[in-house]
Amino acid sequence: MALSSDPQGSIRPLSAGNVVSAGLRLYSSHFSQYFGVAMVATLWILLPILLLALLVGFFVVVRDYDGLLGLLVPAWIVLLLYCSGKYLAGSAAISRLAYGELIHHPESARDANRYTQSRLWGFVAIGLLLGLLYTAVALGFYFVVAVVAIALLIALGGFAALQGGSFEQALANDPLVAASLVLLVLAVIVCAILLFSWISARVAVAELPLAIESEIGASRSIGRSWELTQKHAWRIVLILFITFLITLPLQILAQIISSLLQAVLTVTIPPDSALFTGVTLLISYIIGLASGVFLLPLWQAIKAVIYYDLRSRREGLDLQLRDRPSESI
Amino acid sequence: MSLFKQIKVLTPESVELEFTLAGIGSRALALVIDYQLLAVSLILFWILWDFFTRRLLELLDTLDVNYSQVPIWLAAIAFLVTYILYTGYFVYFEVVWQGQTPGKRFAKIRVIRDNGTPVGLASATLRSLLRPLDDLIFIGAFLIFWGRQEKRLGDLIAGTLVIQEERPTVQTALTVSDAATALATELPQLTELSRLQPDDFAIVSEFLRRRPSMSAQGRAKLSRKLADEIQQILRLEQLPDGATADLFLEAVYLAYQNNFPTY
Repeated sequence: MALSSDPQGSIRPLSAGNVVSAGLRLYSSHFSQYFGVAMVATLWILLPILLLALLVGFFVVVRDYDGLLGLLVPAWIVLLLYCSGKYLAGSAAISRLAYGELIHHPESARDANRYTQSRLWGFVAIGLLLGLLYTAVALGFYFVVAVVAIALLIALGGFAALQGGSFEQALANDPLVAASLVLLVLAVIVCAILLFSWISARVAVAELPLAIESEIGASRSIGRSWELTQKHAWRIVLILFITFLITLPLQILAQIISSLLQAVLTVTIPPDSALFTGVTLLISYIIGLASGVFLLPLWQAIKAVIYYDLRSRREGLDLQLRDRPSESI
Repeated sequence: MSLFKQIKVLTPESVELEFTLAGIGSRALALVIDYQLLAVSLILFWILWDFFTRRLLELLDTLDVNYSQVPIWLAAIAFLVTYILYTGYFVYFEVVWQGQTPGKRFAKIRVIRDNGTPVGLASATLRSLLRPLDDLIFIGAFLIFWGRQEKRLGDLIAGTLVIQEERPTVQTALTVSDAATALATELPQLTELSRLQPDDFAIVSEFLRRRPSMSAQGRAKLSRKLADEIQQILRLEQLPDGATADLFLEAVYLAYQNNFPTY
């Protein structure tokens, strides 16, 4: 298989559309392998939720042993982190498998999994760090928007203007005021979308270095993603967007199944009962998980292609002289 | 396994050509762009039409005639124009731009006929007329995904293929330092350049071409590695005096090109 060498035989990086096509091709040609890994990974995140349901049920029925909670809650949190780690390591294993194909070093699912599972807590750390990053960016964004809003308010005459009713009058009478208000809100929304797309693109391959490169830790792995995606953020946003578009058919299919089941349920269970709410929630949750099992390998494969392509562009990974094994996996 | 599907077509002149199929990613990208442009033009049209209609009705009001039939005709014309714009957009561009629409041009893909010739009015129209059917519950997407030749209904019936655009291999001139030019003239005396295979040369020139967009670290590392390997291939004991890895590679590139101009 030759990714780096394109059909005409010359070497060149991939276009956004071709990254998605290549990822999709890897996905469809290794579907059973990736799907198996994704299935096991997804079952792991189901475990803490099932356990939580059991515990809640237990305490609701027994109404005693409250003292145990002090022990159970921390234990459950540790379990949750561990299971998330299992999930993340499994997802990373799929990317590792896909990357192995790209550099002509295919691995077995068992080997890839063994490698990533050995770095389980690293993936948990990446997840937590990314959570922190997003929270910080969101807070920063809110702060900036608030400052701008207050500045505008002061410029317009402060609260007095609002309280005097002149603002409401202006809003009602002058279409220009209403229009600029709408535009302002739209601008904030567009800015938020652009900002978060950009950030997601910069950390799009955050877990891949940890899953693939040797001697690397969680924060360094995120740093690598940041470094590799430099100057390529908007191309990656485009890639992620096309991928999202391609997953739409499946998501719509899941939506249809979900509403069909709901229609069946309304006939069998009275729609205003608590049971109905519970069952519908459970069904949409399970369908969500099931479509997740199908989509996870696609995203992971496409991330592997993004990572490969970035390393080719930024580090010339594909520029190897003849008969020389590639340097690193 | 190849990541991109190849296809061989036989032209009417019995020449066999090989193309790479566009792939679903590029086609989705092209479609999104085209639909955005189409949406913008349709919105513009409806705004203009609305403006025109209001003015016309105001005018008719002053004329004291029975115009109760006029609004429905205006609406009918507007819907007809909308449909023509929707279909015509793809037909017009695919015929005039030789199988490309703005979206396809951006995604670097092109429509051709099964025999490799440019798409004509008839096939472009067929493709465009069947487009709504392909968009319906994503029939086209599924057909492209599973089909061996990535054909949606429109392609199947019009006998067309969507391929990646052949890029003319423009060889941008590489910027090479003066020191490298000087070293390049010495190299043939130091070693037998023919030990280097054309493939190796291609890698070196590709590296020199791509290095400006590489990260500083990645570039330095790769440059050292390539220089080391080329040095071994050329059986040089050491790099010529004062030559850095980059300089050495530039010199090798120049010397090789001067000695074997065909590459």
